[in-house]
Amino acid sequence: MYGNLDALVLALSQLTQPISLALLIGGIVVGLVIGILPGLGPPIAIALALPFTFYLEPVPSMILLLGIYSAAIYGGSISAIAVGIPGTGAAIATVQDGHKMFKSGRGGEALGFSLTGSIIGGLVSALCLALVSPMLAELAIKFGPREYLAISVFGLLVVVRVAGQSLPKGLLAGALGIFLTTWGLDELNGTERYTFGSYHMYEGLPLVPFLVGLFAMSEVLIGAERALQKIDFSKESLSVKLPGLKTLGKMKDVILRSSLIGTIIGIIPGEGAAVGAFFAYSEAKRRSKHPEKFGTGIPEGIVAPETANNATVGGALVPTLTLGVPGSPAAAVLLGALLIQGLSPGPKLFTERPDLMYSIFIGLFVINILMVFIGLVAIRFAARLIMVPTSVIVPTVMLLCFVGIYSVSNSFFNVGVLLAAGILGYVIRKLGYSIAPLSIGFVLGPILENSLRQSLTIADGSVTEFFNTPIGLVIYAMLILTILWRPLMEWFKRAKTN
Amino acid sequence: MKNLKTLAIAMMAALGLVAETALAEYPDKPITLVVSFAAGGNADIVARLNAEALSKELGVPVNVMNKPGGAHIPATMSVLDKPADGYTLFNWSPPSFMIVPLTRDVPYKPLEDFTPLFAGISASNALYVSADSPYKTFEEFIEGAKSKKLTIGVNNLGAPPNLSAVQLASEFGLEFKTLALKTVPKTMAGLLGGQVDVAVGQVASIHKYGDKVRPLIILDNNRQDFFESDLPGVRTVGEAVPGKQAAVWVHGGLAVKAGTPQPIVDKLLEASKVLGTPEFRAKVPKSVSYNWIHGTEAVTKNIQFGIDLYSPILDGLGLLKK
Amino acid sequence: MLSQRLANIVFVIVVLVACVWFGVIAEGFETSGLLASSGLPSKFFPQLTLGLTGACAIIVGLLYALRGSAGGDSGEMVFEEGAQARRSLLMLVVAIAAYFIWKNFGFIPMAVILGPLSLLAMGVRSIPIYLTVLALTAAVYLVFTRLLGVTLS
Repeated sequence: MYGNLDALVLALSQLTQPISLALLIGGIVVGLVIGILPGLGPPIAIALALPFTFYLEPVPSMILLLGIYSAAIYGGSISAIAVGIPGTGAAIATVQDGHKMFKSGRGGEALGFSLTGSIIGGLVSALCLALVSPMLAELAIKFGPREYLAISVFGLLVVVRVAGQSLPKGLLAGALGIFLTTWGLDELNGTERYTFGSYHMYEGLPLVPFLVGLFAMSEVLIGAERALQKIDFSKESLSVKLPGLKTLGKMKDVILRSSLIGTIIGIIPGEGAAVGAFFAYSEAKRRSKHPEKFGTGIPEGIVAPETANNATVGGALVPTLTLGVPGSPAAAVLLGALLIQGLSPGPKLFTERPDLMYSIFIGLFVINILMVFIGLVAIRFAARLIMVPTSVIVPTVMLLCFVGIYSVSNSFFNVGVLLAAGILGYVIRKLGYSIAPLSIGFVLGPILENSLRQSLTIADGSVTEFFNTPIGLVIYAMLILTILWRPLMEWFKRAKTN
Repeated sequence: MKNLKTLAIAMMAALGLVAETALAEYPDKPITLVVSFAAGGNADIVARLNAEALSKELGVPVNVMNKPGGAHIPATMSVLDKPADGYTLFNWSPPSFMIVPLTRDVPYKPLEDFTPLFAGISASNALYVSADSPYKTFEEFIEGAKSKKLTIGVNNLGAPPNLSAVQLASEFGLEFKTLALKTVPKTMAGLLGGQVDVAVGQVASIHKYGDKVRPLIILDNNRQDFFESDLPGVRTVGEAVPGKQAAVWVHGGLAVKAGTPQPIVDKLLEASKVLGTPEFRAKVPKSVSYNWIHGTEAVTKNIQFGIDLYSPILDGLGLLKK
Repeated sequence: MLSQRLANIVFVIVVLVACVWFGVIAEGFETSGLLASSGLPSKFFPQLTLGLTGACAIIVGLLYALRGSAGGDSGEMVFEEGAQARRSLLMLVVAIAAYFIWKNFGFIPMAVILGPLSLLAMGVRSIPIYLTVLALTAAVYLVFTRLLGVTLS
């Protein structure tokens, strides 16, 4: 494929060295811990390990960093399910059903679903990376402002699908989320917007502190309300259950679709794991026979986002390795690691270092397999968290959020944002709003605004030029189809019976 | 409360405790290196290599902390918020030390608030088109750009590549549709993907994209010795069309807050000598240019040169802060 | 305590006032120099999203005013009992206090006080819980400072 058998053998011999295996396991454990902790996400996890790679060969360093990357994305779901706090942005879509299921006494099962989904998503995307990355890279490179605009408009549909019980309320939250991203310096011309005279506000409301505040601090405050109540749970919920083949078979459509959605969103530079997870969640809900059950704690609501967010790992590596353009913030740090090794990721890397490419493909497979075992140990502890009284969890989580957010950039301002977002999240949750549309609005907002304005620049007043984007048109067509599919089918049915 | 703390410190200082122990033992705890760019880019990579080498010399960890965004102001200010004790280093760059202070009101003065130590990472911009572009030479490109409004890709508005582009436009009477694609690699990818007709990359960008892109011209007046290793045979604007101005200046390095005790500055200068050695340069990725200047005085002069260079350019573009 | 209807109507009014206020501020955004001419003005997008937020707020407000509910919460209360409201509000006060203690006195005093204060706010009386929380505080501190090499001060 990309070289010869020699390269494959070389890759295998490098991977089977004891140091590689030790780094694999070490990377997964560190990634898992960082993923579980609120605030610290995959990019920071990888950056923390970067100095170690200075003393390693390219293959072991990539293995270490990839292990951290995959495990950090997965780890975020553990805290999302067990505490209702996404450990990383990637897991915000998992909170809704994951935590509900946990609280209803099916914690072990919920954790099992997220582990299984993550592994399958990781494996499928690794397969895509191994088999069709040059082709996928062609797709990635075609993404310019007009294509980003199309996908962001599609993303707005996700806002509608996670709106909660009242659509106007959901839309209000979504629009508010987008509005809040306009704070800070205007990226396109440097205009100060809502900076209130403080230089801290120049970078706008920081994403991670805002999201952690929105979810975690509001959860802490709601937890405090019921701190003294006893939680009922059955002994069964303590034991971790991995779903059987039969259950997975029933969900194979959701799993496959989410894997592909995750991989594709991962490929698009700048769209991260959170977006992939939300897209998969919304698509699973749309296709479901019982969409109304989403958000009440059902397995599909966990499997879809968790499969997709781990699938973004393989996807994000496609443009990173083949074009030198990082597919996600975490992949950007990974790219840096390769550059430090004296390699230049780009169109030439495949031919120059086939053994490295093989090592990355195979390494990703091994990482995902090892993650099953390491993940099982971790979730066995996590399932027992339900025995811990809420009164213990509340102050500990608050401290964790404080420390986690502060340590990202040693900034008290960010801790302040955490608190403010927590108050906002608490108020709107108490008033019956869902925070999911607010968070997705906050993630999509900057892409939406910048791509709209840049598309207008490209179009330069011409409507045809504005829509002169084959990929964009396909996305718009899919959007219209998704909206009209159900009404159309019903109309057909009625036409038939008449 | 701050007052109490200050009082306590003042009392200890009076007893001669703080100052002496701090100096005698510097460094005795981890040092933070603030980088105003996101993790993974060229500036970050070089900063991390710097940190690693410094850490070896000084015997304490040097932790890189990325604070991107906000026109580099939050990162810069975060260094000035910390005491001048040599435990917080700043990775300065043209935006944080020149362009931003020249274009907007900022709460700091680069040359008064900081003591620069050295300059290393540098870059010169070059104009690229994709390999299948109809423009084979710089002259053809100028002709093409005069007859049709081309889309030009830069990383960020107001950043050196963008200034290069506007300067090119004003010198040759061209008009572009400008797309800011966030980073230099993304700008180059935009070229491959056909979102832009022409892109401002760096001379060293060629190492990543090889024959997929075609360099048209180096956006500089004077020839630097490293051009030949990156873009052999490619002319500078000054060489192609004598009399036309094209010069932006990209250089970056480390600085500490002004007021840091001289013995600490000296220790840092001594430790950073290793960053100018050929062994260290060999570690810097090929796609990054490295141009070594060492010592507070020399670097200050260099930064002043950058400020003097940028001021008229920005003034001509109506961006200079009045 | 406090009906959803009343609380939501008050919230909608707050949102509308905020929308107008932010919308007016956006009128004052100034772009300098050459970059000003590029594309849509900076105020467009904030005002657009504010308009959407405001429109949704009006719909939500009307739903509550006329029908008494939005999304099937008619007759529901924001807090089931006063004690709940008290606990969460006290917890919020503790969080904000912790922030200022940290900023002015350093991390360790904040970390030591945070646990016991929040337990008091929630009305917890059991000594073992206090001890557990303090032990976990120490664990968090150690994980970040030793394992992840973060400097907390």
